[in-house]
Amino acid sequence: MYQLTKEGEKYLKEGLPEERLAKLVEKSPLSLEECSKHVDNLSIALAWGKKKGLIKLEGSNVVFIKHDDGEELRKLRKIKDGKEIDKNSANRLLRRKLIAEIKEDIDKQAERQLIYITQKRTEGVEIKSKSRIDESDTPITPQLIKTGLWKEIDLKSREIKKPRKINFVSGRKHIITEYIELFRKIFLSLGFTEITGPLVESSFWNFDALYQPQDHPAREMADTFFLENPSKAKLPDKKIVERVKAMHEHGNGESTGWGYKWSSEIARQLVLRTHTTAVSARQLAKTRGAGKFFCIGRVFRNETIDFKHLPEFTQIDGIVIEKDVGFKDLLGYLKEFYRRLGFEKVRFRPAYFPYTEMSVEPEVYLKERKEWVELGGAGIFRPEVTIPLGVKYPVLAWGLGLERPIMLKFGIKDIKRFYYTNDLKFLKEVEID
Amino acid sequence: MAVIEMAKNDLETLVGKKLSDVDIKERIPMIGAPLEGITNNTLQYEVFPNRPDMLSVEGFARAIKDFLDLEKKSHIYKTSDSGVTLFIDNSVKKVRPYIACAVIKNITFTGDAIKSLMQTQEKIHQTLGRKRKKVAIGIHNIEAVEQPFYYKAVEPEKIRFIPLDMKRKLNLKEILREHPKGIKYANILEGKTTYPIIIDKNENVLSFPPIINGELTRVRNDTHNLFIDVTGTDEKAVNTALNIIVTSLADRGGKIETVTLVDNEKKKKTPVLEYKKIKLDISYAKKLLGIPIDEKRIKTLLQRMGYLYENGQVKIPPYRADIMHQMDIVEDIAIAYGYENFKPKKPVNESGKELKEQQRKEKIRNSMIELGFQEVVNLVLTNEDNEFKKMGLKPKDYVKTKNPLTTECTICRKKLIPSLLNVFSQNKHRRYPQKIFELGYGVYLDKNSETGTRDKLVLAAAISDDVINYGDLLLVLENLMKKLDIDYKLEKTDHPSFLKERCNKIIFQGKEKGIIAVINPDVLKKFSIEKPVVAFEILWS
Repeated sequence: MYQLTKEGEKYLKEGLPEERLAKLVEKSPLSLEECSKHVDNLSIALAWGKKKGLIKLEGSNVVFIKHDDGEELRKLRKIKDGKEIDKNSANRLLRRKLIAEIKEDIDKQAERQLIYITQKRTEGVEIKSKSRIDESDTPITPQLIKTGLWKEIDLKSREIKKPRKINFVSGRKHIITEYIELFRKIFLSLGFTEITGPLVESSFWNFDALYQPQDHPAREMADTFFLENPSKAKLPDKKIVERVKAMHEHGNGESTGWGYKWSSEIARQLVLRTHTTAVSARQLAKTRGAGKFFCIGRVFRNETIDFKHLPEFTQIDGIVIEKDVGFKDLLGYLKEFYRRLGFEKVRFRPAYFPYTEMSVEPEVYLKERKEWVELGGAGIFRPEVTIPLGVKYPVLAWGLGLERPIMLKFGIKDIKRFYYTNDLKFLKEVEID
Repeated sequence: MAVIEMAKNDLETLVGKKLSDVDIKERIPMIGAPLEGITNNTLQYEVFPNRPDMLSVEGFARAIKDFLDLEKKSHIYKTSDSGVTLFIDNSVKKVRPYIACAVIKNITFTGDAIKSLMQTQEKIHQTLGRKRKKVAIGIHNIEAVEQPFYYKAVEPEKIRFIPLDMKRKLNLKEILREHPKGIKYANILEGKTTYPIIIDKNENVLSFPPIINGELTRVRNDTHNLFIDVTGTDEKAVNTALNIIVTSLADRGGKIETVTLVDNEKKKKTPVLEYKKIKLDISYAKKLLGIPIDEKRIKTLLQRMGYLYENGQVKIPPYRADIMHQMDIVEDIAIAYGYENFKPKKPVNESGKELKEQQRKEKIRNSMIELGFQEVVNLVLTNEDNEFKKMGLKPKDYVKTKNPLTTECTICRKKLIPSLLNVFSQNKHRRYPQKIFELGYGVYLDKNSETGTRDKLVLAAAISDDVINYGDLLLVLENLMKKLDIDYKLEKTDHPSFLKERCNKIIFQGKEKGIIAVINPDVLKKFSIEKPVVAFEILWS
C-alpha cells in the first residue's frame, strides 16, 4: 500500500516539472534564465526532461522535442484514489520519491494475518504455499501477541503435524561413541579397570601369547594386515618369550603343546591388531594376583570394503582373573553384561577359539526380529595361555564387536553408512534410546 | 569356517534313527556344530577346527550318536595286516617328510558314500591340512597297482604319468603348469628341486602328493579295495588325518588293514588306531564347572562325547586330534552336561577405574559438541593419495601395510584433516553449513617403542559452507582452549595444504601442537569439494 509524498501531491496538482518545462518551450526555444522564471525546480525539470527526451539544450537555450506521455501522473492519480498499481511503476515512483509505502499500524497487520489464517482454514483451501504461517500448527505471530488478537485464532482446526525427526541444530556424538560409552559404563559398574594397547601389534602379542600356532589360518596373509614399514617388533621379556615358545613346541607336562618348531622371527612380525584380546594378553603378563579389566578399541581385518565389511571395527574385550572362578561365573558375567546392554534373554552355545576352553558363543534374543542372534565369543583362557604369562588363576574372557549390535538394533544394512561415509543426516537424526 | 553338507537320510542311516526337528535344530548344534542350512533332504553344519573328525559325515554321525545317547558302546576299530609295504626313500625327507598309509578292504560305495568321502578329503585338506600344505590325502584303487610301493622325491622332468581328469601323460612340471590342481597348489612346492611321488613296483605312479593322483588308480563306484596315502609336513596331523579317513570308511563297512612303512632300517605299521590316555583330575573339573559330579556321572558324560574312562584316566579315540590338556576334556564334559544346564552365577557390582586419558577425551569431545560440531568417526586405514598427495604433500614416514586387499587401505593415517575432507566430499548432498569434528588416533613411527609405532590422539574440526570465515573457527578454537584451560598462541606459518594468508600454528606447552587454516582450494578440488573449508587439527599426545 502506498500514499503520495508531498512532492507527489504537488506534481499531481501542478503537473510534472519536466512536462511544464516542455510546454513552456513548445512554441519557441527559451533561455535557461527565462525558463527559471516560469518553472521552479528547474534543475529537476531539466534532468528528467533530458532523460525522457522531452527537451534538449542548445547552447543556453532549451529546445522542445515532445510531450510527456503522462503515465506517471496517471499512476499518481490511481494511488491518490486508493487503487493498486503495478510493481514496476510503483518502483519507479518510489525511486523518484513521489510515493511512499504506507506503514500499516500493527493492529492492521495483526488483523490481516488473522483474516489470512482463518480464511485459509474456513474456506478449506488446500495449503500449497510455503508460508511459514501456513505450515505452523500454532500460528501465533509477534503482531498477534502484541495486539492480543491471538485469542481469535481457532487452534482446534489446525492439525498438529509431528515431524518424523527432530532437526538438531547442535552438534552430536557419533553413534559409535554413544555405544562405546554405554559399554564403558557397564564394565565400570561391574568393577572393571579400563586398559588400552597399541593399534600396531607384534604377532607375539596378537597370536603367539594367545597360543595360536604359527601356521594357524587366522595368521595367514588373507585375514591379517602385515606391515611393510615398520615390519618387525621387539619381543618382550626373554622369560616370557621362552615360556611361550616352550608351550607351543612341547607343552609343560600338563599340556602336550602344539608340537612344532616355534620361530621368533614369525613372532616379531608386526600386524595391525586383529583383536583387542592382544591387549588382554599384555595385561595378563602384567598382572600378579586377581583383577578385572576391559578394553574397547579399533581392530583390523584384511577385507575389501562393501556394505557388510569394513577392514576396521571396534572390539570390546573383558577379562576376569580370579582365584576359584569357573564356567558358571563366566556365564554369570555374560548374562549380566548382555542384560545391562538391553538383552533380557541370553543363551549359550558351544564354540571354538584357539585360546579358550569351554568356548562359548552367547546368543541374544532379538524381540524385534523374533530370533536368536549370536553376539560375541567367550571362554576360559587355556592354561597354555595363562601359565607362560605368569598367571596363576583362571581367567574368564569375552569379546564382541560393537558395530554388529548397533546394526541389528537400528536395522542398518550398510555398515559404510556410519563409519566410512559418515552420512551427516543419519548421524544427526538417528534416534538412540 | 568349515561347513559340511550331508543328505539327511544318509545321516539317519548312519545314526540309526530318524532325526526329529528338535534333534536337528536344537540338540545337535549343542555339541558345538551350528546348523548352517537346511532343506528337505540336506543338512549343513559348521564344524569347528578342533573337531576334524566331524568333517566326515560318518564321523559326524558317530559323534552325535554318542551325544544323543543312542549308542552305549565304544568305538574300537580293529585292524589286520594287509601285507602291503611302502618304502620311504631318504630323498623325500627334505621335500615332504611324513607319510602314513592304510588299506581298506571290502568297501561298497553305495548311495552317498563316495560323495561323502570326497567331501571329507576336501574339508581335511582345507582345514587340518592347511590347504594341502600340512596334510594331503590320496585315495586309490589298490587293484590297479602292485605293491611294494615307494615314496620318494624325483626330478620333475624325469617322470611322466596321466594325472586324474587328463588324457595324456605329463611330467611333474607340466602338471604344475597345466593341470587345474597343479596350478592351484604349485605354491606348496615352490623352491623345491625335486617333487614327491608314490610309485608301485612297476614304476606306475599312484600319486604326486600334494597335487594329484594318477588316473590309473581312480576310485569308481565299483571299487572295493583301497590304498590310502596321507603325506605332509607334520607327523601328528598326517596320522590324525589317516585315522579320520579310515574310521569313516570302516563306519561304511570297510575293513581296515595296516601298511608296513619301511624307513631305512626302521619298520612301522600304520594306521595306529590306539586310544591315547590322559589323566583327569576330577576335582579340577568340578571346580572349573561348579557342578556336583562324581566319577560315575563323569564316566557317563565322557561316554556321551565318545571317550572311555577308567580309574582317573580318560581314553581318547584315535580320530580325535584336539586333546592337549585335561581342560579339553573338561570342555567336553561341559558340552555333554549341556551348556544350557549351567546356572549362571551373578557377578557383584563394584566400581571400576577408567583410563586417565578418558576424562580429557570426554572433555574435548563434549566441548566440540557444545560448540555445535557433529562428531564423525573414520577409519585409521587410508592410502598415500588421501593422506599425502591430495593434500599437496610428499609421502613420508608412515606405517605401510604389506598385503592390503584394497587400494583404499594401504597405510595408517597420521592426520585427521584428510579424513574430515573425505566426509565433506561424501556429504555434498547434505545440508550446509557442515560443522564436523573427529577425536581419534593417528599412527606415528617411533623407533624406541616395542612395536616401532606410537598411537597419538588427534582432534580435527572443520566447517564447510558457501561462505566461511577464518575468524569463526578461530573463535571456536579460543572457546575450546578456554574450556580446557589451555594457554595457547598462534603463529603465522606456511603449509602446502592451506592458504598462506590463513594459516597459523597452534602452540602450547612450549610446543607446536597443531594448525588452524583455510584449506587450499587446489586441495579441495582433489577431494572434489566445491565449498570452502576451514579446519584445525591438534595433536594431544
